[in-house]
Order: sequence, then structure tokens, then C-alpha cells
Amino acid sequence: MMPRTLAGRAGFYAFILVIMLFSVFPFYYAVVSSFKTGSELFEVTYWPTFNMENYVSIFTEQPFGRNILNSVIVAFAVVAISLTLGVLASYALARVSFRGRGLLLVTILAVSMFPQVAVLSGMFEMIRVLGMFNSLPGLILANMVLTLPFTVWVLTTFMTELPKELEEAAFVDGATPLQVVRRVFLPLMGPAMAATGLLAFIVAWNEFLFALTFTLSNEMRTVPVAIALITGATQYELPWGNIMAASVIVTVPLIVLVLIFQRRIVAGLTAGAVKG
Amino acid sequence: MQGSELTRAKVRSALVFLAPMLLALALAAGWPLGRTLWFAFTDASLTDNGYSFIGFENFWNSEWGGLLEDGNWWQAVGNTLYFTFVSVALETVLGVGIALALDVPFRGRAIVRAAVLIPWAIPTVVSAKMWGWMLHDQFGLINDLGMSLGLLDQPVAWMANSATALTAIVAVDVWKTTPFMALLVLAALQMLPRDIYEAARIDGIHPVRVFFRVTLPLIRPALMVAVIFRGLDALRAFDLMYAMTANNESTMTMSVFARQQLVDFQDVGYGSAAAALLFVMVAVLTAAVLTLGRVRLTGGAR
Amino acid sequence: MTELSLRGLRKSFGGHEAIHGVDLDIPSGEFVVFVGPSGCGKSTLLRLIAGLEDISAGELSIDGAVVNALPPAKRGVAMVFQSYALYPHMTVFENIAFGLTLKRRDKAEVDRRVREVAATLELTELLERLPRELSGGQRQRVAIGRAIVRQPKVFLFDEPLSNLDASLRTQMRGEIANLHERLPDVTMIYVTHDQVEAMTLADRIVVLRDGRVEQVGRPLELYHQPANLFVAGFIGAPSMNFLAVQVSAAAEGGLACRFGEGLETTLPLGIGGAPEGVKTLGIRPEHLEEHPEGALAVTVERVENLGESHLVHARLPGGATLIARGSGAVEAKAGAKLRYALPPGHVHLFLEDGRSAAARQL
Repeated sequence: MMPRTLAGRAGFYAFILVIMLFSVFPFYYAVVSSFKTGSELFEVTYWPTFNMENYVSIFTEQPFGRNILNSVIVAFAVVAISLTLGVLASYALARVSFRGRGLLLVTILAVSMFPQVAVLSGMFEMIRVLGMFNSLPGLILANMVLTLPFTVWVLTTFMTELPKELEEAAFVDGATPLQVVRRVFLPLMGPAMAATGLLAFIVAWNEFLFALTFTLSNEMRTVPVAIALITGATQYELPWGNIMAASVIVTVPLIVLVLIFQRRIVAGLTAGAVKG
Repeated sequence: MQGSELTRAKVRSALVFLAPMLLALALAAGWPLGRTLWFAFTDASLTDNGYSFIGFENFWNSEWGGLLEDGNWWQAVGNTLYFTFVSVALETVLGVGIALALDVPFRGRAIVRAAVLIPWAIPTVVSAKMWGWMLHDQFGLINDLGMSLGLLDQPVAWMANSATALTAIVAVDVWKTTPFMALLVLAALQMLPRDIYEAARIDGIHPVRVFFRVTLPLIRPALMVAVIFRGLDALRAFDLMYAMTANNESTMTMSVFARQQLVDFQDVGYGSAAAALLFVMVAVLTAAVLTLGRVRLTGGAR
Repeated sequence: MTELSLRGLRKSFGGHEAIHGVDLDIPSGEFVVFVGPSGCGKSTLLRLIAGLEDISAGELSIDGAVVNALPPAKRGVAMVFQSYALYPHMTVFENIAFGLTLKRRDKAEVDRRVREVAATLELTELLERLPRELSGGQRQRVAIGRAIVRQPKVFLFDEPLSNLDASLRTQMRGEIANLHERLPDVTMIYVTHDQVEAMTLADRIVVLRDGRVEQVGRPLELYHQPANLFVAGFIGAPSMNFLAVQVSAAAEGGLACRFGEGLETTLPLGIGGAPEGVKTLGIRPEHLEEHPEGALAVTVERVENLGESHLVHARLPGGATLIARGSGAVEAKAGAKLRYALPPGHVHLFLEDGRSAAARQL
């Protein structure tokens, strides 16, 4: 509850201010730095100038546009596949009782706890055998291990909460299970799909270990790898201005998405976690 | 049993609906995991196509010791455990604090709640770079601020110093992950009935006491789940360490160690052995958690 | 001709049997109400008929054909759910049309049939609305419309009025009764725990308890000739009074009934078996007559005035309690001594196992 003394209130708002600064300032400072070039970077300042030089140079000095495109392709494909497979599976898991369902749910949850590195060598071999090394399909496949289990899990939680009578009414109306999913449940799962899809998008967009290990050339890298591997003219001079500009570019869309879908993301996170 | 067509149609569809997901999961998780566990008992390498089964030699052998006598591995284990315990503990305490503050209705709460999500949304690699820049030994904001406030006598090379590097990484993780914790706790707080607070207030109980006696016991289940998930997540940490200090031994986690053996040293067998040990560790913990929380789990689905 | 027939119908969930072999024949066009306390299996029985639950044993046939294995839509049944179960994302039109569009019927025909049904239910103005924009009664009518449009042979209602407030419930009860008149060939099965709904709507009532049929009969049959203690107690409010009784054959004919110390009376009744087998006497509150020479001497404990009538809660010397309904002109106060007579025509006698002794007046 809100403190009732003046000092208490002042303390409360000071705490809120600290929370705000703590959350927002590092990114703000990255934005400020991204507009600095040359020796401006060697001086700590707090107000932005608007010099776009770094933003131009990351697209000209390296295939950053291509990297963004790779990330977009991988993330969208991963979201589309995860949601399609996930929503079908979640109907089976949430709405049909069959032997082994509990075990299956536990297994899926356990897979989402896998350390990524535990599949690394096996995945490396498989991707090379399938001829998908240094390619986007390879990355899409690898990302499924990260997104699919929690997509299934979260969608199952949401699917369980839909009223049983709706499904029964549809069966009495003559619908098949696929029609129940497509015409009755899917339209009602809109918010859940948005939340789950967004979480999957963020996971795929941010994925680093697979993208680092399964790509070789600059042209096939996704954004996080490209940023991690930005190098300067000499080995010892990291181009911090470029790095900050690249960071800002890949982060702004995410922040916008998160701010818009704030409530749904929280709903998705809690559905996935609290019920676990 | 005279199962009706409806039941049979539902079970049939369930199997058809599950098949693509199970296939994808087998392909992306089951098979690679199985191969990794197999490689752990071989001398496979990236440079050489042939390999053979060598039993437990990657884990222990009398010639060069194996994983169990590898100082670097044990340092990685120590780093991982230190990172996990310290960061999760700090995130929990801070997360609960922030959640309590955000549970109070005040003007602009929605904005603050949105702002808190920003660190969570930023890719780990980007936050590593952002903080790497702020912690830069010569031009970094932290040193500049510390010196002008009189907290530091001279610039500190945070990331180069093995004593401070891991602490810095913990700090960045706390910055990035506390919001996640705070939001989960906030969700739990908002499910609590308001009248228990009012009752406590009427009884004149001090807010601190209310927190420890009423609020904390009530949110404990949700908090435990969040802490366990975060802990399991922290045990496999890779991105942050790699992006901030690459393969530096003083901050290397188990995941970084395994990947270094696997990719940089091309020693698939040895790297897989390390990955397998990490997997077993996480699996045992997960199994323990799932067994303890089993009742709640099956309650989640109809 | 029998439209719907249940033969030894059983249902178990895991090891627990919820329906223990129900036999029932329902002629075409009849309005049957399943009634019973919660957990008696009435909804389960309805869902077995609908095809929403698997039948564990026994046979269910509609129009002479066994339908055990058929899915709901192929049984020719339609159902109105307790929560209405309207599809929240579809308009009223789409809700009613949903079943028809699944069968890929001609668009114009779907449109014609939906509008026809909407007109009879006064939903024409609401066709473009979403369920959340409708009142409780309107939602109920849409749910009925969705069922009618499929032209079912059997119409199933699962406690359809329990979510409505009291006045709306009375109104909707009327509408359902009208619906039954308008569709004389359609068999209707209606599940409720509300005996007023059961008494007012039913052609026949099926009283269920613990997955067994206790009695099947016309509403007044159940009221006047309950087959056992359970039905006698379940139908009627307040419930029938039950008194422990010792019965023997009286010298002058009839039955000598003894309720305890000093409370004896002879009733001009006869039963089939030995009078000693009767253990319980039942009398409805509305049938107890206040009479200065009545057999039951009681002490008034409490009087409840309901306006058009009043209820006297009283106690017999042995400690048994009794409720009597009176005309509303109250004189008795707590502590007063009264006597009640037992009109032989309204006395029910029950054997030790609870079955009615089928008393008849001599």
C-alpha cells in the first residue's frame, strides 16, 4: 500500500525513479553513444547529438542489412512453425484424454529446460549431414528446440481454460476436431497466440549460440552474431559507435513490440511459468 | 468398451495433431541430444571423420586425467554455480522489491511497468555490448561516474580483471533478468485478495510484518517456480559471458567451456562429454523439481 | 411408437459407476424431465444420449436404430447447454448457421433457414450482434435457435434456466413450453434440479438418484403416488413429513397406527402385505388438517408467514418434527398446543426398505 507520511511518499517515488533509471538508462546511454563518432566517444556525455554517421557505416562497411533480413526470416519462420505445430498439439494435450498425456507434458517441459549446448554437437553433425550448415533453414530447425516446447506448453495452458461446453456445442453441431480447432478455438486463441508468438519471436530474434556455431560467412549471420563479431580497423580498436548503432537498430523494434503488447506478454509469461 | 465415434475421432485427431510437433521435437531435440551423449564416449573430432568408442576416457583416464581432472572445467563449474546463485538471489530480492512497488496504484504506473520490461526485451548480446561499453576501462561511463563521485581513485579495467569480470557479468544479468522476476511476482501479487491487506491495516500490523507474515507465504509457490526456472536457466548461461569476455577462463561457464572444446578446439568427444555432464546436472535438477511439483503439473491440464 | 429407447444403460468413470443400468422408453414428441439432486447422474444420462460421453454398457436407440457408436451430430439430437455455449466470436446469425455451414449447404438455403428460425424466436433484429451484446434471455433464445435450425428429432436441455434470474426464468419456462407445443413431433429431454420446472414442463418426470431411476411418471402421479420415500421427499416443498410408526390390523378393519406414547389412531386403510411391515407414515404439510380431535398432538415451535399461506413448525411428544401448511390466517403462536388430523386419502405408508405400501382407502 502507498505510504501515508510525506517522507514515506517521497521515498516511494524516489524508489520508483531509481527503478525507471535502472531500467531505461543503459539503453538511453547506448542511443547517446550511437550518435558519437571519433574522439567524441572518448568523452562521457549525457545528451544526444544527432550524427547518423555510425548508422550509415554499419550498413556500408558490412552486410548488416543482410543480417537483419536473416534474423527476420529466421524469427518469422520459427514463430510460424512453432505456432502451427503448437496449436494443433495443444488441442490434443489440453482437450483429449489419452494414455501417456501426462508423461508427454512432462517431457515437453523437460525439453524446454535443456541446456542448449547439450544438443550442440549432435545438431552440428545433423546440420552438416543435411547440407544445412551456414544456411537459414539449419538455424530455423535448430531454433525449434528453444521455441517449440514452451509454445506447446503455454498454448496448452490457454487451451485448457477455454470452456468445455463450446467444444461440445460444436460437436453437436457436427464439427470435426479439426473444425473445432480452426473455427471455434483458433479465433478465441487470438490473444494467446499473439502472446506466445511474440515470446517465440523474441527468443528466435535473440538466439546466439546456434547462430554463432552454425554459420560461417558474414552474409549468413543473424543480428546478434553480427553485433558480437563487429570488428574495427585494427584488432584492438572496437568500433563502439558502430556497435551501439547496430544495437539500437535491433533493439528498437523489440522495445516497440514489448511496449505495445506488454499485457499479453506478461499473460504469456505467467501462463507458462506459474502453472509450471 | 463401446467407444463412440466422437471419442475415437478425438483420439485419432489427437495423434495426428501431435505427430508433427513430436517429429519436430525428435529432430531438433531428441536425436541431437542422443548423438551428443554418444559422442561423449568417443574420440570424435571435427577435423577427422573416423572416431571410435573410448568408454569413460573423456571423463576420466589415467593418461591425461580427463574432464574430472581438468582445472579449467572445474573453474567453469565454479563460475557457473557462483553466477547462478548470486544472480538468482539478487534477482529474486530486487524482483520482489520492484513487484511490491509496482503493486501500489500510483499515477504513471503503466509507464513504469512498461519501462521495466525494456531490459528483458533487449537481446542478451546487445546488453552485453551496451554494458561492455559502459564498463570500458578508458572511456566507460561507470569509471567516469565512479571517479567524479569519488567512489573510484583510478579507472578500473572491469572486464580484464578476473576478480571483477564475473561480478560485472552478474550485474549485467541482474539488470537484464530482474524485470522478468518482478513481473512474475507482480502477477502473483495481483492475484492475492485485497481484503487481507485491509484487514491487516485495520489490525494495525506494521507493513514489514504483513509482508513477511502474509504476503510472502502467499506468493511463495509462484516465487519458487520463478526461482527454479531462473536457476535452471542460469546454469546453462552462455550468451552473456561469450559476448562480454569470449573464452576467458575467469568467467567461462560450463556452456562456454563445452562450446570451446567442441568448436574452437574441434574436440567433439571432449566437448560433448562436458555438455553431457551439464545436461545430466540440469536433468537431475529438473527431474527433482518435476517430481516435487508433480501434483501441480498434472493439475494444469484437464 | 417408441422414438427413444434406453436399455440397461451404464456409465462408469474409471472404477466409479455413475449410471447403473437405466431402462426407459420415450415416445416421439414427449417432453420428459430428468430430475434429482446434484450428483444423481441426470446430466450424465443426458450427455450419454447426446453422444458427448461414451456408453459403458447397454443400448441406446433412436427410431429403432442403435446409436451407441454414432457421434452427436449423426444422432439427430440438438442440445441447449447450461452456459448456452454460444460461440463468442460469431454473430447471432453465424452462431445459428454454424452447424449448417459445416455441412456445406447452399448459402441461400442456410440464409433462409436461419432467418426463419430467428423470426419464430424474435431474434431477427439481433442477427448481426455478438453474444456479449445480448441479454441473458436473448442468449438463451439464440442457443435454442441454434438447436432448432438443425431440425433435430430429439431436443436436449441441460439445466438451461439455471443462469437466469427468477423472473426471467418464469418467462423462459413459458417460452420452452410454447416451443414444445409448436414442435409436437420433437422429443424433448430436459434436465433440472428444480422441481417447479419439472412439474410445470414435463409430460413425464424421471426421478433419478445415485445413477438409478427411482420413479417415472406424470407429474401429479409422482405427487400423489410416490413409489418410495425418496420420491415422496423429493417432490413437493416443503417436503413430505415422515413419522416413524407401528402398524397393526385394527379389530374393526383398517390399520391401527401408533406414533408413540399416547398417540394412536385408526385409519380406514388397507395394504397388500402384512401391516406390521409398515415403518413410516408420510403426510404432506398441505394435507395436515388442524382438528380438535386430531390424532397428532403437537407443540408449535415456530410459525412462518408466507402471505398466501403459513407454515407451522411443530414437535410431537416423542421429539419428531412436523411441518403443516395453513391458509394464512394464523392464530397459533410458539408454545401453543395443537392437534392435527390425518386425512386417510392423503396418507402414504412406506415399508422398511422405503417402498410405498400402496395404501388404499377402505
